[in-house]
Formats: sequence, structure tokens, C-alpha cells
Amino acid sequence: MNKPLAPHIRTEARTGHMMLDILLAALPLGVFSYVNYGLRPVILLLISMGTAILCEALCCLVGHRPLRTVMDGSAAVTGLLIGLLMSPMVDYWVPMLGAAFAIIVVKAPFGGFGRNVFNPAAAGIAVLTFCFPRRMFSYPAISTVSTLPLSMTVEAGEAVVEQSLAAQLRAGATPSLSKLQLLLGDFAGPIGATAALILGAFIVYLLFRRSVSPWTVIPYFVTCAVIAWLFPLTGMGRLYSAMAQLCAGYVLFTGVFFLNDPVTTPRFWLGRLFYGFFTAILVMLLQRIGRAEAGSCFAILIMNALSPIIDRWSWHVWHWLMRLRHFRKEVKAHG
Amino acid sequence: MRGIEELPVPAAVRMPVGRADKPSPIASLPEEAPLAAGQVLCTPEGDVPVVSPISGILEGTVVMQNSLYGSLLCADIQPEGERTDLLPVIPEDELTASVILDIAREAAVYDELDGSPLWQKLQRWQLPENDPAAKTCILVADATENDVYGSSAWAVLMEQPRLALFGLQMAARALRFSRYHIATMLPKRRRRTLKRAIGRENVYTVGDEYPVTVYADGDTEVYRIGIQACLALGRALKQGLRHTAAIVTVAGDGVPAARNMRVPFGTDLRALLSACQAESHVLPILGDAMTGVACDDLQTPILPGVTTVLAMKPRPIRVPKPCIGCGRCAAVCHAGLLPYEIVRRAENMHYERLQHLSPGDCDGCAVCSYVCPAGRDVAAEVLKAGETKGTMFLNWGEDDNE
Repeated sequence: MNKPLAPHIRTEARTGHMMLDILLAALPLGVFSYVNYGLRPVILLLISMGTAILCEALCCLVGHRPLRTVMDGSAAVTGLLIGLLMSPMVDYWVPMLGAAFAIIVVKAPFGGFGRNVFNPAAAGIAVLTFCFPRRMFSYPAISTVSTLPLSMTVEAGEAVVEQSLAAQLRAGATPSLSKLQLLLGDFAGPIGATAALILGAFIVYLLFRRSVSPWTVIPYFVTCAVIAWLFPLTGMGRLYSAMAQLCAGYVLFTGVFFLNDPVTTPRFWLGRLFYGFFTAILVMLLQRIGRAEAGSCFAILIMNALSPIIDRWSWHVWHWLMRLRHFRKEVKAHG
Repeated sequence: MRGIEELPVPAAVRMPVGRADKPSPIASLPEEAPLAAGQVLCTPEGDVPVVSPISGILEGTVVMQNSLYGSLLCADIQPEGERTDLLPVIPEDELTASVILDIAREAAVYDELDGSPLWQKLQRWQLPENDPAAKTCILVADATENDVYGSSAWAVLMEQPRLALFGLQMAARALRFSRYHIATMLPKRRRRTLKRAIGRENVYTVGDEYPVTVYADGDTEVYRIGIQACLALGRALKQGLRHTAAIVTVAGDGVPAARNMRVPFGTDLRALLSACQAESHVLPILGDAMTGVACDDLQTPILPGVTTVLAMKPRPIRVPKPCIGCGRCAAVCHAGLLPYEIVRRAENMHYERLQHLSPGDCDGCAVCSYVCPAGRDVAAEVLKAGETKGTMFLNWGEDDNE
């Protein structure tokens, strides 16, 4: 008989529950995209998730790992994130390629969920950005479409293509959007990265469920907001410019999803604080000088590589500070 | 919270008197000798005497193979009569530090916090006369319950608070400490009753946290003993009674209701569980739910140090999953460690880099294992890592030397 080790009571929280939280909370984003563009983005999401799950199952079979690891939901989340960053009019094979790359190249070779160095979804998007920039960043104008045809391609020119908000800001143009439109996500952009209100509600839900840490989220958003406030990109006032910069591209999406991937972020609270802070600086920097949209993905990948170092050093710094404090106390007490 | 109930007299009590590979220390006692409760069976050199926990007849010695304690030589005592062997009671004003230490030893008082003899601790901690450190040291009677199931310390406080306080005062006198208090996390209403009974200044309320880390205010050096040890010392000094029983909470989903039982040392788990109407096929756990040891041998005797026995229905053991790095273990670690990183380095055999993370500071409170969503036994892995020193090759060398 196998004797259980202490503790004999355990928390109800499970890894799978954390992933399920993300999947459930992302449902409103799916509904939002359906309302804006019809069934096509929903199919894109399902294809992306399905490909990721299939690839994960394949990797489990090849790596002689139990198939039940697919059920932890991490592959589905990777697929979902890739799908949410697709343009609604992208070809169906593009998210499939991104999801397959994320799972087969970025996740599985390192040992699967929990051992990957880079965020698979961010890496998948980065590769798609390099390979298919035109397909990735061609967005249909939201005001002109009610439903996108299911069998459309970017080349066919079946939808009115509009410059994204991030591209407009980078080009120095003044967006013709009201503040309400910015908040509601009523502008051209990726399937799930424009709805600021939904993403805001989502992060509050995840914080409440303790699926994400405030030590990363708060420094990230505060730093982003401060930078956007200090260095406006439009001449429509600091507040509008800050709002536009936060809603543009993947800035919000990164803060909500990529930044909170537990595997690739530091675990120690001080490390998380540094991680959120430096990611925000990098994201805002790349938003100006790099490829407008995908700058966040590259920022996340760079920070993923630095994450273990940030984690360890922040812990050492914290302990040195604590020792110093203790030493001062001792000196004070005993002369 | 239940009061303390007396365990019905068990069919037999097997009191460990020594190791099975050594000669019997009670060979001089005749077979079928009548024994009084508290009568000394033997006195190992430099240790406290082993006393008979009940009044009965000595049937001889038996060797007991136990999965937890190893091979034990036990005195087999059948209950009979109600004889009690008492120590002389000395007036309170004559109780000097050395007299209290002698009585703590003679009465075989054990500290339930770790199961060690109380007099050894007191002797180790005792300050010289007029030592200025007496002002900064405090003796704390630990009556906290670090477990959702346990209530034995609270039951002691509710039933005999004055005697327990007297024991604590005498222990502090033996140590030459001027400060002492009882640390508890009793619910507010009961705490008020307790403060009325023994004085507000003698009760310290600890935070409702696991594990408890702060037992006194300010910059003081805290020395802890168990509340049951205080009670046992108080009973020995006031009533001449030796320490022969533990107060044990029996709880868990395998018993109809949680109960606090006074259990003579040497009583086996089977007798205790059947007295509490435990279901068959329960898995007994000696100790609390966070750090207790699963023990499927129902002949295991209750010995000093056991304050909780959990009767848990068997449940499937969760298959641990890979660490996803949620950082919850680091967030809850009261020692400020990085459990996930320690486990990772140990798994990757980076022993030479392990010591920078101070795994030896882990006290095994197991709260990291409790919160782990991947179901890993983080605490066990950290404790194991704490035992490694330097490189794995050094560890091999250590094994060879043993």
C-alpha cells in the first residue's frame, strides 16, 4: 500500500483549473469577435486551439508521455492566444502553422508544459510575423463589415483593409476614434486584442481568482501608462494619446495573457515586479521603433530569456537587504 | 471543541522500555508483578525513568516490530486495580530551580512539542543566577493549534488552566526566567474566559496563521514548551502524579466526531480508534494533517509527542505534475525560501549551487506542498535537498563513511 506523504490535506487548486479559468474568461472575447466579424474569427480560434491540442497529443505519443497531459489545458490556451492575435481575415492555415510551431518547436522539445523556456504562443506569433507580415497585419475595417465571408483570403481583396491603430500611431497619424471607441475596441485590429473593457474585466477576474499575480500586472500597466503619458504619439492630448497607445497593438493583450504565463515569468515577488517593469519599458520602446504590432511578442521573448536571472538575482538582493536589516538591528541592540 | 474524555481501560498496554537488541532493563522485575500507575519500571542512564502508565500486572516483555519506531522492547502490562505511585509533594516556597528540575525528571515529564524529556530542555536552557539575559528571554507555553483538526491544547487550557499556568511558572522558575506566558489562538469568547481564569497578562494571542512564527512581542528570545508538559509538571509538583498519559485529539473523516482523549502511553492505535468508533479501513495519521505520518500499523503505541491522531478514509494519491512556476510555494514560505528553485536544482543535480538557496532553513511545515496546484510534495523534496551538501560526490563519500 502506498502511504501518502504529508500534508494530508491539499488545496483544491489544480493546474488544469488555472488553464480553465483562462479559457472560460476568454469566452467573451470570442463573442466579441463573433459580433464584429461573424463566424470566421470563431472558426479561426477553434482551428488554432484544435491544432495546438492535436500537436500536443502527437508530441505526447512521440515523447512517450501519457496522453492525459493534453487535458491540463495548456495546449488549448496556447492555441487560443495565437487565435486571438490573428487578423479576422487571415487564411485558416496561418494560425495552424503558428500553433504547430508553438507546440512542436517551442514547447515539446523542452519537456512540455512547465519546462518551456519561452512562451509558446508569443514565439508562434513572432514566427508568423516574420514569415507572413502582410497576412498578419491586414485588418478589415470594422465599420464596413458585418460578417466576413468564411472562404476569403487576404489576396482576393474581399474586405476593405484598414491600417491598424498601432500602425497609425507609429506613422504619426491622428486616429479618428473617440475615447469610447477605444475602450469598446471599435476599431480594426486582431480578433481579441482590441476590446479594452473586456480585457480589463478579464484581468480583474484572474486577479480575483489568484490565477495571476498583482506583482507583475500592476507594475506593467503602471509603467506602460506612465511612458505613454510622458511621451505622447498624437497631438490630441496626453490622456487620449495614453489611451490610444495602451489600446493599440498587443500592449493590453500582453499585460493580460503573455505576462502572466506562470511558466516563463519569475516566481519571486520582487522578480515579478522587475519583470513587469522592464517588460513594459521594452514593449513601449518596441512599439515606437520596431514592427508596431508584434513588438510586444518580441519584448516578451526577450524577457522570457532573462526571467530566470531576474528571478534569482531579485531573491538574492532581497535576502542581502534582509540580512543587512538584521545586522543593523543586532548592532543597535548590542552596540 | 470537546472536553477531555478518559479512554476506556485498554486490554493491554505495551510501554517501550528499550531497544530490542539490548538486554532487558526490567529483567529484575518479577513476572506478574503488580504495578501502580506511575511506578518506575527502569531508569536508563542519563535519561528520565520509564514508568508504568497504568495500574496493572507486568506480564513480561515483548519485542515489537514497528514500521515507525523500529524494533522496540516493551513491557506488557495487563490492567488491574487502581493503584497509583505518587511523588512526595514539596511546598511551593521550597521549590528551587534544582528541585523543580529533579521533580521534572523523576515525574518523567515529556514535552509534547517534540516528545523529548522536559528536564533535558530545562537543563539546557537554564540561565545562571542573576543573568541579565533573564529579562530578554521568555518562556512560552505553546497552546496553539497548528492544525484544522487538533484541539487537544485548547482542551487542556479550558479544563485545567490554573494547573497548566502553575507548571509554566515553575518551569520559568527552573530556568530563572522572569517572563512567561501561554500562547494561544483560542476563539475570542473562550479566550476571554481563559483570561478571566488565569489573568490577562499570562495569555498571548498569536496570529491566525500557519505555521505560527511569532510567540511574543518585541525583541525577545522565545523558548517554547508544550502546554501538556506544563500541565504534567504542575500535576507532578502539586499532586505528585507522574506523566503517564497524553491528551490526544482523534479526528478526521473516518470518525463520527472529533474527540479529545486522555490516553495512557503505550496504548495502541487500535484501542484508541475503536474507542472513538473509527470506521474500519481508515488510514491513521500520527500527528497533524500538515506534517503527520501515515501509519498503517494499528499496533503502534501512543508515545510522548503525539497530540493528534487522524483517522482518514483512504483517498487516491494524486499523480504529481510538472511545476508550472506559479510561485505560490515561494509566496507562502515563512522561511523566505524559493522551494521551486531548490527542487529544480536538486532535480538537475546542481548540488554545488543548492546551498546558496539555504534549503537547510526549511522546517518542514509543508505549506508549500499544500498550495502546490501541481500536487507535488515540495516540502519533502526541499527537506531532501537540505540534507545534501556540496556535490553529489561528497554525499556519496558521506554514505561510505557511515
